[in-house]
Amino acid sequence: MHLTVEEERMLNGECGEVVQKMMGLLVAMGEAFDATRMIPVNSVHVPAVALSTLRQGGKKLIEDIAGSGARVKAFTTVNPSSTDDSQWQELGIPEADALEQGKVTEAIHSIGAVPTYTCSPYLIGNLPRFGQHIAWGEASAVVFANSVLGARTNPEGGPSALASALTGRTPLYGLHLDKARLGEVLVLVKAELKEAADYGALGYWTGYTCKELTPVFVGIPHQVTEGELKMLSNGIACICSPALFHAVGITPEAQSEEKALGSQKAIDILEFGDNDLSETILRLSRATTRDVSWVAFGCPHCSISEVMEIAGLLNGKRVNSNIELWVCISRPVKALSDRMGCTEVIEQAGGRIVSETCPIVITRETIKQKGFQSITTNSSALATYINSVPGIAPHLGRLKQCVDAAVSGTWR
Amino acid sequence: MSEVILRGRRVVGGKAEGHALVSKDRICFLATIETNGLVIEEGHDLYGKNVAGTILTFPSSRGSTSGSYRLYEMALSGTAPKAILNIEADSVTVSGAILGNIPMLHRFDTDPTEVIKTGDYIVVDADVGTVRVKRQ
Repeated sequence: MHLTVEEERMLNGECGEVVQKMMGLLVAMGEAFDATRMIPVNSVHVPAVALSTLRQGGKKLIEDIAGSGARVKAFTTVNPSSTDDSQWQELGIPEADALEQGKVTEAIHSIGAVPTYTCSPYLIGNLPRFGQHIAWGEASAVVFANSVLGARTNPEGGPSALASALTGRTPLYGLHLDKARLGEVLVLVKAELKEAADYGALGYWTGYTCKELTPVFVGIPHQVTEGELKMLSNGIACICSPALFHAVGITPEAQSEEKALGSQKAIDILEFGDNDLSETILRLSRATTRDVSWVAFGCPHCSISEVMEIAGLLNGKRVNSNIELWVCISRPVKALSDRMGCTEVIEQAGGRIVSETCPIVITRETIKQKGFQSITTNSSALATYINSVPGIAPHLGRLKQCVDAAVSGTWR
Repeated sequence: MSEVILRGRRVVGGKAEGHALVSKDRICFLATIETNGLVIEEGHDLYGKNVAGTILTFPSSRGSTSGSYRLYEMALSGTAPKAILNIEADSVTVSGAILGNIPMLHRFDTDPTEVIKTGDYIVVDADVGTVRVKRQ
């Protein structure tokens, strides 16, 4: 692998031991994938900064980096944490977890990363342009950046994203190259997609069906919203390995079917019909109890338009007093929600705006203490990931169905 | 006793030997496997098995980019596989394997998830890129 003089200096240890280790990791990765060189990046999103996902190993790595005095070389944002430090007690987060997360948070700030704590960084200032090489983790954001924005990144894990942040480089292979970005399977969307939950289900079905092949959607309506594309990205990301989709007439590398496929023919042509949509939602909705105890929106973190929609549905209603309803968002979106009165509407209905965390990344101890047996959500990805937490199973449905369940206390 | 040799591309160097655990399904280190090595994802073809100390052979990973730290933590706790063999590696597994010093190979001359069977005794030399499959 060819390295520039500056990259050689980083690898030799002239820029410190931590930078040396991080550059070593990127070089090893590059060599494994036949990368010929590194490429500069100035947009990094670091996944797994939550205590629950870092665990002891990741925590030590981040604290070692901070302790060395190293600073990021690229513009760097970070994924959600395991706490909302404005209300951890109200959320039932154990004090020990809040304190531990606080130490990680301090380390992250000290290396110069922007404290975004969100899985939708493109909503709040990390917005790469078409064709820009970036190094992002957080599977849903990776798919969104590659597909909807047309930026270029492989799905980076926590260590490799940190390595790119500290060196300003990523190895040039995989989705950074034209040849890996072509569509392979046509997915004809025949089902009527009514809202974000449907897009999440389409994403899950596609990831499950296409496995490692890159899908090209035909028939996504022109008026599809950013929130729906976010949910489509997340649905694909939670099950599938190619971190890219195309949608003809919608995404920038798919102005036409031919452009999306390149010179090759589609390996397969699939149809996604109304039955596939309803069956996917039913399959993921695994809770056997009809009792609702925890309703969660914002996987991935909501945009302000999604918060407005939820506030509209909750306006004048009352969430059942035994039920917690969470709307998970970033702090800048919370500021907008406050100013627009959405926060007040949601709180008056008995719901809660939760910043910088979510049910997937709070610690298991938090969930265990709450004793919830079900989680009710409009997100296929949340419904998938929550299965790794013992004792809790998901209800998956459309937004209004979830709000109705929050009010009545029963899943229908 | 028969012996087959596969040749692959080094991802992380090192040597290891042990019994194979082979999956046709992709692995999401966050959702599929617990830190103690137990496979907890229902419907996964390794459900109920433990990957600790095995020569873990699977196509590639999928899903959450938090998987790297799960693999690293398993290495720190002594519950990681002794080696990892992939059809095509990906950055999430690779960065976890590098931090955890787990020998790893990919891009074999033949599909390792076809040739290798669960229970085969495997000798991995990731430095030179060979995998010896020994079968009774």
